[in-house]
Amino acid sequence: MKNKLGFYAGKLALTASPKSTSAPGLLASKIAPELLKELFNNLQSPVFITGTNGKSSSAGFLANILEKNKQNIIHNKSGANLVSGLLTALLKENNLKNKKPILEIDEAVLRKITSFAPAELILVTNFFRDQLDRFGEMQKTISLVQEGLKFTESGVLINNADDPNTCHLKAKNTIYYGILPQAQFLNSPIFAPELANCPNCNSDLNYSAQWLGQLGDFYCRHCNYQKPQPQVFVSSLSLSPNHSEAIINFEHNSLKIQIPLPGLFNVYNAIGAATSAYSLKVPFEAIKAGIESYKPLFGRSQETIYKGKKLKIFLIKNPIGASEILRLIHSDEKAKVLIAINDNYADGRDVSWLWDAHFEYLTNNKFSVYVTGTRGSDMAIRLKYAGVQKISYYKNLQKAINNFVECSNNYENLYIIPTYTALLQITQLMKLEKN
Amino acid sequence: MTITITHLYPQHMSLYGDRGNILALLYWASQLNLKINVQNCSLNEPIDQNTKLIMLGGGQDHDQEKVLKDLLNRRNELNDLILGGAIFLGICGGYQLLGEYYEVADGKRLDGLNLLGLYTKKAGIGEKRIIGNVKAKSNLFGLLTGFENHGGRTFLGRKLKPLAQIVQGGGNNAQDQTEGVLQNYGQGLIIGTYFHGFLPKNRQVAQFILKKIAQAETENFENILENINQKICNYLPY
Repeated sequence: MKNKLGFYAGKLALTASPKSTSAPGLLASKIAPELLKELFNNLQSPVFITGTNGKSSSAGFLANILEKNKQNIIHNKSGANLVSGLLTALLKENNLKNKKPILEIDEAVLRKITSFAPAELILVTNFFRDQLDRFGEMQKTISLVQEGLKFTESGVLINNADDPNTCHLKAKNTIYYGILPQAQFLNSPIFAPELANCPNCNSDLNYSAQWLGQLGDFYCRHCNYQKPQPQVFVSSLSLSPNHSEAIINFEHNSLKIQIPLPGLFNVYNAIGAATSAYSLKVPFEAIKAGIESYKPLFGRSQETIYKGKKLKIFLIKNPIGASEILRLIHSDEKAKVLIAINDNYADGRDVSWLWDAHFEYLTNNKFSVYVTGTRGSDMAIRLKYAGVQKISYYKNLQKAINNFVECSNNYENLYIIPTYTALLQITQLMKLEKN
Repeated sequence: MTITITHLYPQHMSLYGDRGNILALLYWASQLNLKINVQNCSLNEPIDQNTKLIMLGGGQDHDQEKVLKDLLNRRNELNDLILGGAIFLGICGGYQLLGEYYEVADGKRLDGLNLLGLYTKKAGIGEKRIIGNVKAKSNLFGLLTGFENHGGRTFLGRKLKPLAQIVQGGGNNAQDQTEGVLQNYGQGLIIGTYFHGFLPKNRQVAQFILKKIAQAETENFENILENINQKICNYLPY
């Protein structure tokens, strides 16, 4: 009875504001805390995607692959990945019967959902330092996700072989994916405290190569904890400013794939999704087609037009992710950059991490770096201490973006890197412009 | 003349952007034409005996426990360096470790360096982690700003003076309105604080430290500094 009430209240709220991503689910779950559980009973065994960075893009790649394979899926495309967001995504469907949920899910929420909906597959992307004001410490995140690893009888964990933090997770069946050290990669100059400790014995980890934060070819001299041999791996890789080309080796096959988004982090998102699809027995043609035709979500490597100018928007939220995006921007000598830093709850209230991101990549940028957001002044000071000469600081985000775009020439490539709530503001701004 | 400063355990003890403090010192040093050599000092590595400053940031509990033995072994060495004129800057966990003891989240009590008569207790039942923007007033430095993020409650012994009085936020223990510690120590000085972004956001402290460690090196320090400060873009609040 309660569930019915919650269900219809949620549906009603959705009718009232069809674009909501969380509010209807929040309302429904307040009325009927057990509703989500009941709705999951109608669905096929779920697939969950969790981890610090790359949840949305990995889930997006996987959903696109399964759609190319003509499967009937439900996907929380909006990126709302708490209970309210998951419930909203389910309420949006008219018929749940036998659909396959492909859901990105918050690291702390996973255990709540799998306690009643054991997974057919869980894809873990990585564990970086993120929102320490929320989770406390890295060990805590790892144990929260470990608690959430509840599977169906044949359920599989798809795990990142290159991440010493995620590799500490234990499951009955695991398939690892990764990049082989023989693959062409860029060594990362970035300061990353994550790579200091072996999650098994807490000694210092050693690396024969390290390419993205703590991701790399790691081993522990003390307890022999080391990078597992991945079953699915990238054997050849070329990165360019707009896309990457990779050869992915599966156990008995290999596949040449063009990944339509730039950056090593998107290579990981693509192979995580490809490995998941492979484990779900999707044919290779659909895997290739699903990755190559993927259109990014707003703010995740997405290209957009504003006031007649092309813009690329990359969400940033922690040192490693931000540094990778800055590395990408650094490789484009025509790059002109706007950074928007907010400190609302969803951004993380603590912006100390700006000091651990490698903003030194912007030191020799040709153009003035635009800075805005509720913490724009923290950002400006960070750039100053990184040696950036020209900084344009705006209190007002809209003004910053308008000036940024209007004062640009056609030969400049415009990049906007906002935190989460700044991204939402920018989305709103661009919608208004279109209407 | 190059001035050596030491960043202790940068890999394990720099959780919340603590290396920003080093970057701030480097920036102001370059403005003042001072040459600074940063020595990163990890487990079992020697501290340069010419060091003028030792910075120790904060880490996760298990990181702090990991460096603790190595740190305690260096107790006499640190004591002598500071007595001889070096400045010790402890941020968050690095501040807690200066004291007699500190309690980790599970209640275990661990020995500190015992350089100063202060101690840190874990949050009591019903007490929350102290997180947020913080402002405090100091006689020496004026208004200080930062971000605090700690569970432990630090209490100063009677002989110690806080770095500043809290205007907004929790400070040492969310009880007595004090923040940090500032203590002359022989020829040297000990500064402890919970503020993240401490030197970046409070350039007067960064400049004070440089002045102290570079006194012999630079003539006309004040003149140069004034020139530079006038040139700072005035929209930057820090």
